[in-house]
Amino acid sequence: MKKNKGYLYLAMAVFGAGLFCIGEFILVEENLKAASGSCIGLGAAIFCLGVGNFIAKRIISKTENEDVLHKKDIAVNDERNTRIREKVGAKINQIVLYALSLLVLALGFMGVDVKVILMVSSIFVLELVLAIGLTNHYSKLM
Amino acid sequence: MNNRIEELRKQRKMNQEDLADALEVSRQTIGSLENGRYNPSITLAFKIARYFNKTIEEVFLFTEEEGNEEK
Repeated sequence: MKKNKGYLYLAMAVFGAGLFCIGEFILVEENLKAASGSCIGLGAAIFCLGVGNFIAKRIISKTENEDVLHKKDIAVNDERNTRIREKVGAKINQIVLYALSLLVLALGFMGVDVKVILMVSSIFVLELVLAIGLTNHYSKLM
Repeated sequence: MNNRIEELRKQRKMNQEDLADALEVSRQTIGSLENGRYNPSITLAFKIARYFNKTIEEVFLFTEEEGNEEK
């Protein structure tokens, strides 16, 4: 199972590299510039994620013995650490929303194109939709 | 919430690391529990109580005032 996951990450890296190559070498026409950029960006991200996880899974994991892995597992699943992570996540969300509000205001004062302001503001809508959806989801679970 | 974890641990001549390993939590969690900075989940509270062969009430000392506190 674990071994399969290693190959999955390798496949991810190959897929990312392929996507990058398509964006860089195949989609070269001027009217395909947006698609080419998306392929390059997405491909690079998937490639890095795949390679990073593959190295972590196949090379770093081999150097760690069972005891270290068990300790790491405990640290990750520790309920206090989990609660700390949840609190940090909630606080970060609050702060980022304030920062985003300031950014939208600043963009407005700077006279930036309305489309850009709307795009940034749409994150507030996403936040609202996610809040409603996730509250509904967890209300049913708990 | 006050608790007797430190007292019970010392009775068993254990250090925080040993207790943490036995309960499968981090050493920092044991430290925080003993200092009263962190209140455990009901599952961990049961695990701790069972580990020391006590009831939850014998390990964790609950008062009404604490129950009304907002952290």
